[in-house]
Amino acid sequence: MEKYISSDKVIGIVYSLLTSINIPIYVRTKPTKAADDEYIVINTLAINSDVLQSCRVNVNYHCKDLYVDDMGYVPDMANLDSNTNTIINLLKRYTGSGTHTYTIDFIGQETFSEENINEHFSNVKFKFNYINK
Amino acid sequence: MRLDVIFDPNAVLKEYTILQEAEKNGLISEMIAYAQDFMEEAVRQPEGHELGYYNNRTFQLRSSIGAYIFKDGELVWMQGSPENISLIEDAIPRGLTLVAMVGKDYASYVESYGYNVISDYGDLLLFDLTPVFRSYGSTTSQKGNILKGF
Repeated sequence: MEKYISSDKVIGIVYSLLTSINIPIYVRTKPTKAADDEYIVINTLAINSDVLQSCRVNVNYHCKDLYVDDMGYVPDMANLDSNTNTIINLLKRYTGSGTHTYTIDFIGQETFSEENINEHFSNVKFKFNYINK
Repeated sequence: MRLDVIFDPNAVLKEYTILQEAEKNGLISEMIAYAQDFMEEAVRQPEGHELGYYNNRTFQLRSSIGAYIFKDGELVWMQGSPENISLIEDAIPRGLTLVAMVGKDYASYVESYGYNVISDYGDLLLFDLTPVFRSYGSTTSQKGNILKGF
């Protein structure tokens, strides 16, 4: 168990792999004072303590809706699509290099509406696997 | 003394069918045990955002969790919400199929915020079938069609 990693460590690893995206990245939740039009939040479900540690990682790309005169607020499909693809391409089938013994697998993606704040977010789900030896 | 060997295709087919049934029944028993573990964990999981779980305010999400075993499209065992069956029965392939699911469409939204609904327990359904095949022979293993997870 001496090389056990926490879900916070997992978030840190995923964070470091996404820094090339020029968008604010927050861990677990968006800070209450942040007022970005687009941002990424990384969170995880619980991580187990087996030899093969694994947990689900959510990378959520949030984007303000666009206002169209005749229609009102509509999702910014172009940004949602392009940044979702960027996230997937950076993380899918990622295998840690050097002494790292972890892999990241792409599980799936969904887009959700946050009507109250005129926002949509793309939820990209990954599975993080780490050999705890 | 003379020994005659008579090949009776019907008898062989009957024996093969019995073996197939035994193997499938063994598999079903094994699947039920794992599905029950899944249900136990998923329905009785803790509550509280600080623990990484959703708050069970309305019980709708939790009461919509279910596990189902189908044999050639027919439901042979279930635990949990019967309402989910209509959502999945048209998509069930032939063979043995285990489905564990939550029947509310917002479950995925809840998990996107980092609160487990059922995904943490998906690995409980990844089980080793080797002992079952050892017990009954692997006469039909290539025909088994077991879907794990969601």
